[in-house]
Amino acid sequence: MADPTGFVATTTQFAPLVAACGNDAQRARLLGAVANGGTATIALGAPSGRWNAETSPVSTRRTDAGWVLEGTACFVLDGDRADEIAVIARTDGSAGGSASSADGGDIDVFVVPGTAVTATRIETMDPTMHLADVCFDGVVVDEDRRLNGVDPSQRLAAVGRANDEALTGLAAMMVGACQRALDMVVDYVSQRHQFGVPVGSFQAVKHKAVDMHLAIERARALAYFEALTIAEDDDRRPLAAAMAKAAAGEAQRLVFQDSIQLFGGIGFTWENDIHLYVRRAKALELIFGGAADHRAVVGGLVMAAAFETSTGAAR
Amino acid sequence: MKLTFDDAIESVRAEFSAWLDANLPTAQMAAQRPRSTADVPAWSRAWQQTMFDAGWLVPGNPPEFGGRNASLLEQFVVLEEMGRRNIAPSMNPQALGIIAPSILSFGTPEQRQRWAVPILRAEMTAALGMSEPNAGSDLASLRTTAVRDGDDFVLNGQKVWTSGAHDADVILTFVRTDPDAPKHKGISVLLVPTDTPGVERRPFGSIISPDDLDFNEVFFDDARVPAENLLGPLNGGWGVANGSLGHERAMLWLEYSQRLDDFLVSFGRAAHDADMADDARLLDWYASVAIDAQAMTLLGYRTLAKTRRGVESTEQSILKMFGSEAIQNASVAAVEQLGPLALDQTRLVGGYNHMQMDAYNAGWFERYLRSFAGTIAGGTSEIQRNIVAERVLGLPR
Repeated sequence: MADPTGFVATTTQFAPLVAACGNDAQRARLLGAVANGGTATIALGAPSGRWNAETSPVSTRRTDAGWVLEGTACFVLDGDRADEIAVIARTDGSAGGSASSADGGDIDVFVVPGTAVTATRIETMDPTMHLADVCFDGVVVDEDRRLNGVDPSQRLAAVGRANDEALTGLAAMMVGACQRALDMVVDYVSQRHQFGVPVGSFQAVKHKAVDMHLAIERARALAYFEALTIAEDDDRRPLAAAMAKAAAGEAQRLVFQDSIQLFGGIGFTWENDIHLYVRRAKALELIFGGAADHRAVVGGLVMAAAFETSTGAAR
Repeated sequence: MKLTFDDAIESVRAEFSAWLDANLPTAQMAAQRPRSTADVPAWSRAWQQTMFDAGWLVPGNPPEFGGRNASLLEQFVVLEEMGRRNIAPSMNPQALGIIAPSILSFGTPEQRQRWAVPILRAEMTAALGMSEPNAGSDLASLRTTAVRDGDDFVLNGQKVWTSGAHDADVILTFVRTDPDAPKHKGISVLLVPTDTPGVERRPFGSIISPDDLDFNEVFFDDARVPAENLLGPLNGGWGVANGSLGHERAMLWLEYSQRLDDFLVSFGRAAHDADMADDARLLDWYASVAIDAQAMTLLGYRTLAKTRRGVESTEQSILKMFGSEAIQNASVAAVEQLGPLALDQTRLVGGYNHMQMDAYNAGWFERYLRSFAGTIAGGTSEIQRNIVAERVLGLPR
């Protein structure tokens, strides 16, 4: 299984963020480099495992020399290899001085050359996924590397939109990995005979396979829906993104467990490929917020909407 | 791909919606409530006839059968609009959803006029006689016999779960007409009027209450019906059964999807009223229900799109299983989250709605109990899993 990290980080994380936040010249320069095969990524993960722009572990302040960054972003896809790293930095003064964004926004987005940071690769439980912690301490960047194509009051929303695109990419990959795992299970239990029959003819096996299929179909439908809300600029996008990542996470939980179980002893070996796929799905569950984090988002949004509907109907 | 219907389709919805505004019975008119799924009060008969005459009852049918030759998507938005407003087109749903379409599909022109039209116009009520004490999931093992005698068939045996039979005028009855043939090839279908001598009906209470009388046992003791009451080919009843349940399953997902949406609104309201709307544990499972509801709608739309393109859809079993289990999971969680508030039987889930079957005007615990109808009736969730495993995943039998 090839290492997809560079592709995923560049196309589903960096490119949407630059498209959402950059000015025309920045988009042309940075996305042009991507189109020519350059790699890039985004950095906002906190050590606690939060992935919100408001809680980015990196902050910034403006000096005469340029924008000074401080802090370490964790779990950055391709963080030690990417040509460019887009970092979301808080402007709340925690990097020294008072609130320091040039235009009064709560956050700023900078694009830093990969050569300017200190990156430490993480030994990941999915050996085909490339992750690194990226330290920005003392990095100074020029104004033309601050993405300033969007009104400061809209910047958080623009970052949110890019984040939703990133979630879609992760959810889609999780669905794909889970589908592959299920396909392998179906092949295996159709061939493996015990008691003179294929083990796939036993209901205990069939029903587990169907539950996996349903969980994957559910997650796939929501991942497609999220992609459609992005394409159509539909205002259900933030809800759909949280649903897609949550459903993909729920699917991987079931698929990891039941596919190893249905492979039996051979599934417990390094030599059978099933572990590669479920490791990938599990690894993606653990970044950008897990199923429970996204259920919390969904629950809050739907509860508020339900209350509005019910009080509206009562009037 | 798009997230909306075309304007032409939406205009049909708007036309229907305006028609509903002008024609819906009021709560006062609908005061008399049905006591079973074949007990249709006078106001509801009149309502169903109004829908039939306007061509909205079964929009896909031609006008003589209560429709307007509507396209699939036009039919869909009409159903969606009725669901959104919580309107039941008929208080005899198995007749409208299964029995009438079976007669239209398999009947002669005479049978369509004699049985299907009066059923669609609610001048005649009907019940479905399929299951027997020893033929549930394994329907093809049914043993009620019908023996040809001159111009008649003579029936002997017993049906069960025959919902509404004690209030029905006719029972669509699946019988064994060739005991020597393989079990799927000796079944036929007869329309049996319930006033036929030798037909005895015994309603019995459901788990809801001893007074919730909808289920019936029906006994046939040398009951004679004319041979002309045979629906479809002699010994071709298995094909009718599959067609009938196909009708039952085709748009079932929409009902589940709307019930999940209703649930989210009703429970959201209840949680606010109980000052529990910020509780993290509650929001966690509530989110799962919301995700189920959205996924159900999306998977249903996908099935609809496939059907429209003429692609055979294998998803009915998945949607039936998923929808019924999602409602069940939501219902039991609601009972647990509300705690003692769910003890009050009179506390309605979503308020009273006079255009619905009374089963929909129920409390939280009753909703949970009723959810088992979804996971048991019309093919249990276990049977659906077997079907999906074999037909969709291709696992060995």
